[in-house]
Amino acid sequence: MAVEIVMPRMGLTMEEGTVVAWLKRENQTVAKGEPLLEIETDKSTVEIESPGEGVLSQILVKPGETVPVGAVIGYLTAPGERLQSAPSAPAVGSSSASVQSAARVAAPTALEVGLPGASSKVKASPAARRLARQYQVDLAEIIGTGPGGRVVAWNVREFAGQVIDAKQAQLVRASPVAQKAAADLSVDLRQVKGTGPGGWITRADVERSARQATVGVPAVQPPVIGEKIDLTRQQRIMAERMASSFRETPHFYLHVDVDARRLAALRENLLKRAKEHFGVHLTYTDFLVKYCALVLRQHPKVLQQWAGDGLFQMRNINIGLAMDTPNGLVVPVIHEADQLSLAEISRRRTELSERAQAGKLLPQDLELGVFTITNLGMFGIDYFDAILNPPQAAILAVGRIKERALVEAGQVIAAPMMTLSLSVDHRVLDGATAAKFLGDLVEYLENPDFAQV
Amino acid sequence: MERLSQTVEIIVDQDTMIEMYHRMLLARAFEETVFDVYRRGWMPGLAHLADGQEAVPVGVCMALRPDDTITSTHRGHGHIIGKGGQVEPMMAEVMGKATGYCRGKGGEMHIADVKLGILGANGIVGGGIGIAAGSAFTAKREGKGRVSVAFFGDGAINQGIWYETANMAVLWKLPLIYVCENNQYTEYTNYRKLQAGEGLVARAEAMGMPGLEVDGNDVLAVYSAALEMVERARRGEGPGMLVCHTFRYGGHHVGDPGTKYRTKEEIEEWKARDPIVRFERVLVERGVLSPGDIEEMHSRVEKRLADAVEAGRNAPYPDVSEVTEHVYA
Amino acid sequence: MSTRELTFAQAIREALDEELARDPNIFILGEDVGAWGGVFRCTEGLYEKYGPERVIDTPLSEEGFVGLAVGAAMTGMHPVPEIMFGDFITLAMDQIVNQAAKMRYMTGGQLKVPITFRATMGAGRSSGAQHSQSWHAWFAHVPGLKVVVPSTPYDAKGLLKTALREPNPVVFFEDKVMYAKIKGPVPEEEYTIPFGKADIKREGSDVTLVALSRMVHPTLAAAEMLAKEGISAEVIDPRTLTPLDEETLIQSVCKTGGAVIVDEGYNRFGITAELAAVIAYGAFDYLDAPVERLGAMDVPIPFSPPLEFATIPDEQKIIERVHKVLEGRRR
Repeated sequence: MAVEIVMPRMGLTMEEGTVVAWLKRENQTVAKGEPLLEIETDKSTVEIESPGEGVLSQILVKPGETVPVGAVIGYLTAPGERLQSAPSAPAVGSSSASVQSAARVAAPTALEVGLPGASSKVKASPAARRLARQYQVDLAEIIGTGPGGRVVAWNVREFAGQVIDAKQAQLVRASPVAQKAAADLSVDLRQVKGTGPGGWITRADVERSARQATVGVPAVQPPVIGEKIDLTRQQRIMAERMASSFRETPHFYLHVDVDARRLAALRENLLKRAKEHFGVHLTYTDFLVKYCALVLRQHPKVLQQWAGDGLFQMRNINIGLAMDTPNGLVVPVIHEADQLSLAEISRRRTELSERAQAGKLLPQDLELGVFTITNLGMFGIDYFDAILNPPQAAILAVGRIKERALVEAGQVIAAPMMTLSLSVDHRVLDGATAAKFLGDLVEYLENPDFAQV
Repeated sequence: MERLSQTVEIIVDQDTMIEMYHRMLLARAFEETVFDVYRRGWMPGLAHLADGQEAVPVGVCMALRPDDTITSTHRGHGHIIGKGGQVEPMMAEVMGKATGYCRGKGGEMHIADVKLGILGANGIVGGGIGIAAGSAFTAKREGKGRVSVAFFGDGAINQGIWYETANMAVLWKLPLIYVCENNQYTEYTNYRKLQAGEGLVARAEAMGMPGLEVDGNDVLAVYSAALEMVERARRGEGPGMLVCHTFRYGGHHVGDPGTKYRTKEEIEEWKARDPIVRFERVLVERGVLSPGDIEEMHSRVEKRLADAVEAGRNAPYPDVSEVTEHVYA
Repeated sequence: MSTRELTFAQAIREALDEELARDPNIFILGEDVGAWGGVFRCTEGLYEKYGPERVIDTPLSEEGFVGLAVGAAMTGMHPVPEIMFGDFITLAMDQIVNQAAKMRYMTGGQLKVPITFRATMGAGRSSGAQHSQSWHAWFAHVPGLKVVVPSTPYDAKGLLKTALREPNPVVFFEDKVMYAKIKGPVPEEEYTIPFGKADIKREGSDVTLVALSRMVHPTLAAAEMLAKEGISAEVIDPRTLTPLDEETLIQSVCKTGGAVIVDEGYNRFGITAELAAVIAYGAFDYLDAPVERLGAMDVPIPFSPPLEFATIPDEQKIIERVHKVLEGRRR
C-alpha cells in the first residue's frame, strides 16, 4: 500500500509550503525518520523526515514549486510494490521563476518502481560515469541536477568531496545538503552537534556552527600569524586524500642501493642515437619507467589496490611521474608504458612535462595511474620515503646518482650509485612480495641487457 | 537521311597499313579472349566488348600523334589498343591484378595509360566528352598543334554534355574531334527509336562545326576522314565530328547475347562487312601482305593474347594496404 | 606585419590575383567572371589584368564548363571553375563526383587532378529555395575531394591560396552574404593556411561551440552575450571539412564536457550530424550532456523574410542551445 508524502503543516498559520530540495532521488530506499526533503514555509527552511520506510517511488512536486498544506507531494512504496495508477499532481503555484505545469511533472513508469540494481538504470552522463568509476562512488547514491534528473559531472565531484568528508568524519550522519553546506562554510562536521532525527546533522546545524565560530570566543584561540592563503577545492581534496592515505594506509618501506655503472654506460651509449634518430633526450627516469613497466608485468600483485572488502587487480601498466610545476605537484601518467619503447617513453615524458609546466595538462593525462615514480635526485637528495599515491599500493622514490664507495671483490672502488626507496601498502603486499619486485627491478638496472630477453 | 562519304583514295604507306592491320587483329583478339576469360570466371565484374568495331578506333588513332589525347567509353578496349595500349597490362587490369595499367583499381571500364595520351575509358556515358574538351583546351593553350579526340557512341550523343562542350569548342575553336561510333544500338534499343531530327551530321552542323559520315567498317575510310578532321583542328580551325557506322557482334555486355533485340539477319549482314576481313582483302590485293604473312600475324597475335592471359592469371592481386593509396596526390 | 581591412570578396580576389600571377597554369572560368567582374565582384579587374585567356566567360553550361575544366586539370592546367550559386552545382555533379574525384584513384595514380571548384552557399537574402542552399556536406561525403569553408577574409585568402597550390580537387565554399558584409584584417605579406587545421576563434571553458563559414559570426556574438551571463564559451572553426581536424574538436569537448554545432547546411544527415558523431565518439567519457545540433531547419528555404530567418541559426537560437547543454550542470 503506497504511503503518501504530504506537505506537512509546520505551524498554526501555515497554509502552503515550497519544496526546496529533495534529499533522496526517485527509486532510492529511505528509512523511517531519515531526512527526505527540505521545505520552506513563511518562517523558515525545515527538513522533513520520511514518514515511513520504503522506496521513494514518485516525486510529484519539484524544487521551487509551492503547494497547499496537505497536498500529496510524493509516494513511498514497499520494495517490489508497484504504484497502481499515475496519481494526479496537485495544483501548483510557484514563488520562484521556474514554473512547471502539473502535466509536465514527469512520473516514473510503473516499471521503474522497485527494480533491483538501480544504479544500472541511473541516468548519468558519460563524464559522470567516468568520475564515479574514478572516485569509486555509487551513482545511485547521487542526486542528479541535470535534465530529467540526470547525474552530471558536478554532482559526482561534489558527492565525492562529501564522501571523503564523511569518511574523514568517520561516517558522520549528515544529509547531503548539510555536507555541502559544511564544505562551503568550511565547517568540520565532526564538531557539529546534530539536531535532526537520530542525531543527523542538518543544514541548520551547520549554519549555526559556522555562526558560532565567528561570533563566539573559542576556548583556545591560536594567535594569528602571517596571512591565510585560501586553497582551491581541488587543493583541499588533494590535501585531505594525502592525509587520509598517510593515516589509513599502513606504509612500510624498502631501501636498496643500486650500482648504476652499467646503466650510466648504456645511457651514454644511446644518447646520441636517441637524439639523432628519434629527437629525444634520454634521462634516467626514462630507463626507470621502462624497467619498472617490465618488472610490473612480472609482478602483477604490485598493481593491486585495496578496495575495502577486497582487492582490485589493475591491468594496464600506467606509470605516473611526479612533477614539480609552477602550480605545484602534479603526477601525469604514461599509459601502457610496457608497450612503449624507450624512445617513446622519453617522448611522452617530455610532452607531459611541457604540458605540466604550462599548466595545460588534460584530464586524461592524470588518470588511471597504477604506480608512481618520484625523483628528487635533481635537488641533491640522496634518498627519501614517499607517501603512497592513493589508491596505488606502491610508489618508488629515487634519489640522486652520486659517486660512492663500493666494495667489489674485496676492493673498495668508486662507482656511481643510486638509492631506491619503495613505499608499500601492507594491506596489499607483504615484505617478501615487495622485496622480490624491488629485487627484480634492481637486477634490470644493474644489468640492463637482461631487459632484452 | 544518312550520307556516306566515298572512300577517298589516299596514299597510305605500307608500314602504316601493316600497323593498322596489326592493331585491328589485336583489338579483335583481345575482345574474343576477354569473352573467354569472362566465361571461365577468371575476371570479376562485367565485360563490354566491341568486336566488330575495330576499324573505328584504329582508323582514328592511326591518324593521331603520340601526344594527342583520346578519351574512351565503357566499351573502350579497341580505343586503347588503337592508341598503342599493350594487351598485357590491359588483360591484367581486366582481371583486377596489381600489374594492370591501373593497379587493378580501375578495371575493365576505366583503363588508362596517360603516357600514351589515353585519358581513360569511362563508365559514365558521355563522361569522356567533358574531359576531352578540357584536353583540347589545354592543347590550344600549349600551342604545339596537339589535338584531343572524344570517342562516344550513339547513346552519348543525346547527353547534354555533348551540346555544352560542342558550343564551347566551336566558340573557342578548340582542337577537339568528336568521333561518334554508331554501332546501331543504345544498349538494347535501336538508335533510330531514340534519335530525333535529321541525323547526326546535321546536329554537328547545327552547332557550327563540320561533320563527316563514313562507313565505320572501312578502316581506310575512317582513317582518311579522321586525318581530314585532325589536320583541320591542328591548323587551329576548330572542332569537327566524325560519324562512323559500325556494329558490335556481341551484346551490350558479356551475358547479353544481343539476339533478343536484334535479328540474326541483321547480325549476319554486318558480319559480311567485317572490317578485318575487308582490310585483309585490300592488303592482299595491293600486295602489302601475303596470305602467309596474314596467317603468321594471326597466330602471333593469338599467342600473345594467350601469354597475356597466363601472365595475368599468375600476377598477384594488389595488397589490401593499397586500398587507401592514390585517393589524393 | 602590416594588415589592412578587406571584405571577404576582396580577400578572395586578392588570393586569385596573386596565384594567377604566380602560376601560369591557373585560369578562371565561369559565368560573368570576366568582363563583368563576377556577380559578387570576386574577379573584379582580373579580366583586364590577365586577359581572356586566363579569365574566361563561359556559356550557361555548368556541366560543360566544369567537365572541360576537369579535362584541363587532367592535362596539366589548374582551372578554377566558379559556380555562381552553389545550388547550381547539381548540374555539374557527374563531372565533380564521378570524374574529378575518382580519376587519380581509378587510373592507379597515373595522373593528378589539380582543380579548385569555387561555389557559393548561404541564405538570408530572400533568394528563394533554389538560390540559398549550402551543399558542403555533400562533397565532404565524396572520397577524393577536399572541402574548404572559410569564415573570415584572413582565412579565405590563406585557404584559397593553398587550394590553388593543391594537386587535388578542392571544393571551396564561399558564403555569399559575407562577401560584402564581413570585413577583417588581412596581412600584406604572403601567407597560406594549411588544410586540416581548425582555428580556435575564441577560448573558453564552459561549452564548445563549433561553427562554420558565416555561422562563426553569430556564434562569436552569442559567446559575447553568454560571457555577460558568466558562461565562458569556446568557439572553434574547423575551416576545412576534408581533411577535418578532429583532434582540436575532441580536445575542446574533453575540456568543456558539452558542445553545440552550428551550421547553415540542413540539419539532417549533414555537417552537424557528422561533427556530433566525431565528438561523441572521441570525447565520449567526457561528455556531460548530449551534443546539440543546430543546422538549418529541414525545410526548403522560404522566400518571405520572417519565414526565412526562422530557418537559419542565429544568436538567440545558439544561446538557447547553450543553456540546454548547461542545464543542471554547475561548471
